[in-house]
Amino acid sequence: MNKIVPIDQAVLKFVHDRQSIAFAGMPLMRKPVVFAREILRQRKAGRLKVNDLFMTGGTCSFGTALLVGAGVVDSMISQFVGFERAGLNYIVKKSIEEGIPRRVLVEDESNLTFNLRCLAGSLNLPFIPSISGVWGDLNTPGLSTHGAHEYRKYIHVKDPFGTGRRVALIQAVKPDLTVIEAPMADENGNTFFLGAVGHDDLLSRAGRKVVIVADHIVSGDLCRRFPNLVAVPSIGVDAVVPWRRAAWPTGCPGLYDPDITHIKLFNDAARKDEFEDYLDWYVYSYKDEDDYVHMIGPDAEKLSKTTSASLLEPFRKYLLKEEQLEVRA
Amino acid sequence: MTQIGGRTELLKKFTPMEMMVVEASRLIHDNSTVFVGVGLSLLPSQLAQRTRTPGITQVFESGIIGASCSGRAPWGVDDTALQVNASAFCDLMSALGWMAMNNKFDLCFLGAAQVDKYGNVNSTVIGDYAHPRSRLPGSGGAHDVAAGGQRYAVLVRHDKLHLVDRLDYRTSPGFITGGRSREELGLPGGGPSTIVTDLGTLTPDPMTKEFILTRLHPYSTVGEVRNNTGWDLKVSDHLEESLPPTEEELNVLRNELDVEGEFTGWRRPVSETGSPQRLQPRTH
Repeated sequence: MNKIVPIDQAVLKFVHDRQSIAFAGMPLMRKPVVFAREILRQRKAGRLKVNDLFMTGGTCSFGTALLVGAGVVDSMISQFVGFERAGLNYIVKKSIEEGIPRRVLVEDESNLTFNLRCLAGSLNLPFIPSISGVWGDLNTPGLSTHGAHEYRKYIHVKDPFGTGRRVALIQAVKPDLTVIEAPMADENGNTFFLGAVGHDDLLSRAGRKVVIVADHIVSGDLCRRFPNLVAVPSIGVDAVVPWRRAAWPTGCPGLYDPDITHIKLFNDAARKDEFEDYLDWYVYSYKDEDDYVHMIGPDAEKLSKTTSASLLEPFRKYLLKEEQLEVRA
Repeated sequence: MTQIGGRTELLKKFTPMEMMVVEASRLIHDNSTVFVGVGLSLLPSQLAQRTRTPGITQVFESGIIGASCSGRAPWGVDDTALQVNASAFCDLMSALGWMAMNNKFDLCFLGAAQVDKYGNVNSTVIGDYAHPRSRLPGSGGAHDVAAGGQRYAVLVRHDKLHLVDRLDYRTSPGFITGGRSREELGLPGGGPSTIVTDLGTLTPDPMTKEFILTRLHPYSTVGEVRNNTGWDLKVSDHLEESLPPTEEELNVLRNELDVEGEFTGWRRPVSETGSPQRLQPRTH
């Protein structure tokens, strides 16, 4: 079944206020940033009402920062806030430290506890045991500081089978919507990654709805030829959104490097309270996909000269051209 | 131990942060498996692989195994620069669930905002958790590697803000409250083996598991180290002195890994390319 949907329709169909959303990818890799931009664009155009999203993990990087900065995030689960060597995440820092534009509630997880929560979610289990979480303050609930609802986070138990080993029981996560950026997907939704997988495979299985934002749509021959390489089978995918450079300014291994200059510029804007300008210039300004690529500017070509380009080479002949796509209206 | 007089002379040749990275890289044995963390802890294994120990296997939590990063230093553990020449790509669950929890890492490197005398680490908040003075990145994979992982080294700047008596938030387990307390929790990993700072190296007392000063850097003094530690730091009876960075080590660090000097501060002021850019509306 052809699942290709234009980005505006995907956002309007799958995003609802007060739902939980997970953005797959890691701080500098394969973040579905353009999807976050589109949420804000549709909201500005008055077509989408979102005010209190619950960002459900997947490391808090660029896409989440845009939504937090625009004030549409109520709370989040986070394993890592920041852009690694490219800097702290000042938008999210401001929200947590100063309540600007509003104070987002944060529940911390480690990368492993979050992944285990997703594994439990994908298996439709209510909880799962974990070694991580046996000790430390990760056990502090972060989503109840308003006093609105109290809850227990991890529960420590000893192995009931008698080894005496201590484990933490941690609760499943099933995001209402998981959005994944991928270098390649076919029109049915079979999705291929290049480079490290991170937690994108698990998140795709945990999500109740899954949208793939793909830089390239590939011929259906690719999965028939290399079925081993399908990371997310079409059965788990609800929509495929074709969009070039969808992860920018994070990188997409095989296609383009992270745009560190832009991330620093964004951080700079956040620190100088120029975030509204950022939204005007880099979120609300472009008309369509071509205009978006144009907006990235000459740096786009430079970023494409990534040393990781060799990863894409074997698959180049399967990439479809724009005129070969059949977009479902 | 005799105090070296030429402190200022030495610090004209290299910075304390460079000494710290070099000292950390010397903990790595050849042909071992090294888990590489975020930030400054990206540098020691890159340095070691390019100098003393070319046969190491580096693992990054994004799922990258065996990448030999050539060219520029990576911006993070998921940077495209690391996604070339890897021997395997797997996922986060494999790196932190399988490898870390089953002692596949010989040595791991972690950064810290605060570390206490038992090697427990805070990388989450400064101040109160609900209303922090400073919100930091958080655990990432640090908690998992500290719980598993055969042994790990903590890289941290040496002052009373970083080496503290009491953590503001307990992100990653070290030796908990010392003695056998970590063993009693049943964590599979061996815990922290070394705290490397810009002033010296601390290792745990085998019985109490309290970290004590065992190596001074060639420019630092015992008094200086003790004065910059947030607990009453004990000093080993067999205090050693680390060797200054070699020409080769400095060459690799400066010309390949930290060209801008943003990590080790060897090049100040920042070069033209590093000057802050202002937000510009698009004009093209």
